[in-house]
Amino acid sequence: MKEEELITTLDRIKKVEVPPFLYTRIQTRIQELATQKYSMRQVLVFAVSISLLIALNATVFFPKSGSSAQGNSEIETVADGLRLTPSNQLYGE
Amino acid sequence: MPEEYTFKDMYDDHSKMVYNLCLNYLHSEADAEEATQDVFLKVYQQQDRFRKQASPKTWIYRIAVNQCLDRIKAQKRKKRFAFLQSLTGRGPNEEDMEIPTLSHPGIELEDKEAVGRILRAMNELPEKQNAALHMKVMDQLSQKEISAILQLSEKAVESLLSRAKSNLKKKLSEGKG
Repeated sequence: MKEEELITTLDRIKKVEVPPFLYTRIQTRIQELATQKYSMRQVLVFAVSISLLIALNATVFFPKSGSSAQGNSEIETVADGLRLTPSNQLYGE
Repeated sequence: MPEEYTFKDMYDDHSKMVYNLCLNYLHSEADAEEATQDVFLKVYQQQDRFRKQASPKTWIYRIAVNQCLDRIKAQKRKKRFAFLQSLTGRGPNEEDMEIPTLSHPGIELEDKEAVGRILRAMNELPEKQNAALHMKVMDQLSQKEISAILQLSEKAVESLLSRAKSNLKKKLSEGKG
């Protein structure tokens, strides 16, 4: 196809008017966007608050394994010394 | 740019240009309407940047072109996926495999086939060549305006247009066979 033929063919495309309701649809989407923005912010604030709460209470959720084991062994030592450990033997040695 | 130049003024001045541009790229009234909405949504969100522009027309035109090119890329991805699905025997969605009918209200019925063939071939060109050709042939923009929109030198635009026309003629002659 020659260039002139190409241009002549494409020149036959007419410019058309914009559909009359298009601006209204754009306005609606702008309003939806504004609503979405606020709820996203709320979600973000909520997520940050929860993360802070978990971080501040980390010891509750993730206790140090060492300290409780040590505590237990001290109790056991005292219990042994006082012969308080449960045993089926009548006479403790 | 006067301070009182509102978003509505912007829409009134440029919506016809944007809508027709979208029709020429996307070949469908429905897609062109959606794309036009997306363009003006972006324009609304970036209004502050717009007010600093010497030429809002250039800025809006660039947004519109990028929007259309993104949609064309998405359509090509969808078709490729549908083709791959057909190879694996999963069977694509028939809609994805169809060549879409040209639904452009600015094209007369008797011209639909010829114009449709050219527009589809243009969309197969590399993005910048496609965009430059649209601007030159469809919108009759000057080389200076095209270089401002594509952010290339005028010499680069000249070379781009030459390659675009040559590639388009090749595609159209391949199609005839």
